[in-house]
Amino acid sequence: MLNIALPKGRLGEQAHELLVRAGYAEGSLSETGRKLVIEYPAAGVRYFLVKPSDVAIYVEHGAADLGIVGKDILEEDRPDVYELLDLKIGRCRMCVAAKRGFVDEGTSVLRVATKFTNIAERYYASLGREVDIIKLNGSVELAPLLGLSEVIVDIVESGKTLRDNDLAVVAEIMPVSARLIANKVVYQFKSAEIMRLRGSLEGVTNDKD
Amino acid sequence: MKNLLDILSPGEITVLRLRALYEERGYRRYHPSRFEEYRFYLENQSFLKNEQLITFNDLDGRLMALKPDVTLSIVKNVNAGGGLKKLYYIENVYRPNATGRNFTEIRQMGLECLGRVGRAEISEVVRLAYESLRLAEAPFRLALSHVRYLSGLMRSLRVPPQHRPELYENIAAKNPHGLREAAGRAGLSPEGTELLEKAAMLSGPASETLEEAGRLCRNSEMERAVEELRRAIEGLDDPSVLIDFSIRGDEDYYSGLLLCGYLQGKSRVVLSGGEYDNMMKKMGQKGGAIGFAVYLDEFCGR
Repeated sequence: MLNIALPKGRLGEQAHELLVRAGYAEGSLSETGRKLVIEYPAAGVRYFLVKPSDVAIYVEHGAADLGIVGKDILEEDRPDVYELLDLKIGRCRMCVAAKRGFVDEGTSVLRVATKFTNIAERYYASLGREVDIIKLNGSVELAPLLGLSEVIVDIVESGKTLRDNDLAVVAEIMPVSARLIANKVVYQFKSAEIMRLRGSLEGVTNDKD
Repeated sequence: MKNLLDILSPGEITVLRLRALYEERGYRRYHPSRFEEYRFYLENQSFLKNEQLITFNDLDGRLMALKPDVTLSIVKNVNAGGGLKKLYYIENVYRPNATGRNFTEIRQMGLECLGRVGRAEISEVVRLAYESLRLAEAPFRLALSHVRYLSGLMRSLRVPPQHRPELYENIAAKNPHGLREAAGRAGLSPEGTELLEKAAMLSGPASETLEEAGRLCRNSEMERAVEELRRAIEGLDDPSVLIDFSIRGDEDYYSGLLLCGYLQGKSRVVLSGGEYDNMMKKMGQKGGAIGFAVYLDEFCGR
């Protein structure tokens, strides 16, 4: 039996659809109601629904064998796990955004508001730019509007939220999509099962290219 | 009076059984000093996984540090004098924890073989790593790798040195898509990328994985690595012994074989080590060295 941590929400639903196509789940996630544990004994899998930012924690600590998680969270937390496959769902970009027309003159410390403090720190360190990172937990787009920061670092999907708030992308840091991850110890004991599931998922993700 | 063994916890009994195993093979317990001068670690920073240390001023004013690693102290202080030194230790080391916000004390047992290390000693240490894992009385895996296999391939593919860390990072994460992207940035041809991906992702039961590894060799360095792995596992005819080239070994430290031990039900590696001739050389010692550490909290704990 493989124990798989799935992120609650839209990414989890997309991942579940992919797993249905790969033969590892049935129906739709919404049909399962508020259940947090869903089993498909015939397919040899059990899913746990957890907060997206907790998926990698469950996997790293071995509470789940596998997980599906966004690359943004993997880059931010850098858990010690295997990253086996790019599932090509939940695609978006990690970007720097600011009020339309903003230009960083580099004359003073740049204030950066973000949920992704590690990604932001590493990005600006790579540019040699001195920054003041301000950690926020949501509605990051508000920060430049209220003068809390000059720029934000956040994920951008369609760009609609930015446009609606008169913000624009200044730079792209990296593309983001969902990944299949595995616990490093479990992998050594269940590699055949894990690689079989990976192969089936790869088969249904490749037609997304 | 109660039998003395009855008052020992299962963890304490495991430590005693490991000691008996190592003593039986001629390894003697080594008691390193509790502290080292901070300067020593500063000069050998490249050998440390993390440069953060717990420091304090000794009564004579010298800046000291609590040991973050035992092998470094052993290599510095033990002179094999042209012969062979077979040692084991049971020590606490102090390193930042996974969150990087606090220090943690790690209980560690380790075994080191230094000096005139030949084929027989290498096989013996690999066998002892295997026997150590067996003592846990749980399903286990002993995975081996060799630093020269992939470094040989990278040399053959003329991968620019500045791109190698990024490639190794993706290999250690068994991340084929990341590896392909990094190979593109390193300027590798599609054929070179495919070969690197095949070789780097090789893992599985020892004999068949080594056969495949042999077929992918592109130079004598890779062939020698495969041969050394073959010799190291001779006589260990057990499906629990694996080859896994994703096991990462810093080339400043390691020179050949790499070992990694796993126990079912644990979330982290319980044993790791390898051949570290490079570290011996850089610290001015003659001869080779091989050893491993057993992380006792994981090994004996939950």
